[in-house]
Amino acid sequence: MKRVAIVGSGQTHHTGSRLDVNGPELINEAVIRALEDTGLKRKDIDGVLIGNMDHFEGVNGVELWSIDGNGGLMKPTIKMTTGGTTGSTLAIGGYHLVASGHFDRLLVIGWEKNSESDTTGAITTAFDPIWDRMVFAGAISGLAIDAMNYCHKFGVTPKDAARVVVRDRMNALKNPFAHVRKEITIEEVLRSPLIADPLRLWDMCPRTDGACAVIYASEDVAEKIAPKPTWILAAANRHPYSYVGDVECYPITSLYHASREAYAKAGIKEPLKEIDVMELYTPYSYANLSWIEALGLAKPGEGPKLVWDGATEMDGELPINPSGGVICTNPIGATGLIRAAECAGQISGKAGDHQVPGVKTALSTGFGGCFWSDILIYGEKKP
Amino acid sequence: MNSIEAPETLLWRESRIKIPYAWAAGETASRFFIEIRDRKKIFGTKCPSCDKVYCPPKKTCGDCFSNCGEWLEVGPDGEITGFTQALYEGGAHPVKNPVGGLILLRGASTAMLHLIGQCPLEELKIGMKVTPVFKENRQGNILDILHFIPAKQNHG
Ligand SMILES: [Zn+2]
Repeated sequence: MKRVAIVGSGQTHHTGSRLDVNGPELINEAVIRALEDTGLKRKDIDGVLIGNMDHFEGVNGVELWSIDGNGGLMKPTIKMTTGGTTGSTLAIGGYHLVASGHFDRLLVIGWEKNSESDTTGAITTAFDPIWDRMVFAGAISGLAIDAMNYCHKFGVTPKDAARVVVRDRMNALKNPFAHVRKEITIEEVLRSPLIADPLRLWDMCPRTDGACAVIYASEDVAEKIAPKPTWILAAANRHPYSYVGDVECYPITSLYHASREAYAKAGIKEPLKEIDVMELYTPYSYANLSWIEALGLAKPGEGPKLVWDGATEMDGELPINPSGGVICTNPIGATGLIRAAECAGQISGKAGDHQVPGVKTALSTGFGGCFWSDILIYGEKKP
Repeated sequence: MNSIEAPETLLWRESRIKIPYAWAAGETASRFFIEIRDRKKIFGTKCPSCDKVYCPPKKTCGDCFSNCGEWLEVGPDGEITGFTQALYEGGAHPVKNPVGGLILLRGASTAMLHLIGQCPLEELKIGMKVTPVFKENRQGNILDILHFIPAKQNHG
């Protein structure tokens, strides 16, 4: 198995609606930026791996439809799609494909134009048609039940959740590619309309149009392309259950087990101390509390304390979501891959105004489906 | 969907998926359709490196990634490079048993998929010259061209 690095990336300026481009043209913007970031040309790329959630645009076979924009014309082109985890599946799949030795320079693309459909309607089609779909299907209901359960267990409050929204919004101000770039106060979050108890409007991620492209390289070429490649140290994922009722809300079992596997592979024993930055796919505020407990950063019920103490701020012990995270930007099929691009940006020192100084190790997650979780760990040192 | 024949002990659920979509044409396709809608003119875009004229127009050349920023008027006449008639029912067919053809417009390097009308199927040939019939009330989409018809017919 080859060792694999991320050598560059590109993102679109994420926003609520990109009427000026169609899907392939949107994708192309990210691809061009990723190529520019690495100095590679389309001809240097061995293959393309792309993904989104087909039903958000109503175009099946986007890998074909977008071929002019995605760089895959007359090259091996592969699609991976796994719902909300699509972006992180791409990040892991890209790693696997290059590690296999079949590709030396692989272009990995995640994208979505959420403005083009009714997100809840489209997500409903991902639910089981005999059971959940007739009853309570949709994007937000399951997340609200998870949040409610977590609050009930530990006395966590809406104010605790609002605190992480404030953090992510502040961080997004320094990320020129973020979608929602507007400061917010705890009171504003608490006053926003209730969508599904306890989730309020500003507890939730936005719906975003955007694309992200990441270039993976094998150990044979990575150091020739990038002065400071970001090496992938570990990847793991867990996809449990089909029905909403099967989910064990706390701790989120998929993230718990995937992270323990990834820590073991990367030799990490104390994640809070050993990891320098995290980009988490946390699409609603409460996830930024309970899921950091599942990741082993805090004891059960003590996620809020870690956040209130400032440990996850830009100048804290372990900055979380320097990019502003998913609370500020969510082009679904790109979202998990943006986390990977951001981690690579942090390690290679290319994160710009939201750079965390001295990042040596980073972790990203993906979330989707029926509480599925993906994990990647990255390092500056070749494994 | 196949009709289901099952014993009474096996149940199924019939439903339909109905989700609204609003697809962005983007700047490039918008300009193309506005030219047809407002001026009955058909344009392609040219790749400066490959010298290909794309019609339908492309913003970026998929091969060399150059920006295809140069707009050239093409057609309106062209020739058929392939065709067939659909004799089955298709949910998206604009007419019953449509004759679909690939139309290479004069000056273009790539063909456009469209309908062919006013010609008995047995008279259609690959290489036949055709010309577009524009709709009276044009909405800014691909069906602002009603169909292509044999060129000689259009000139009487
Ligand atoms: Zn070209």
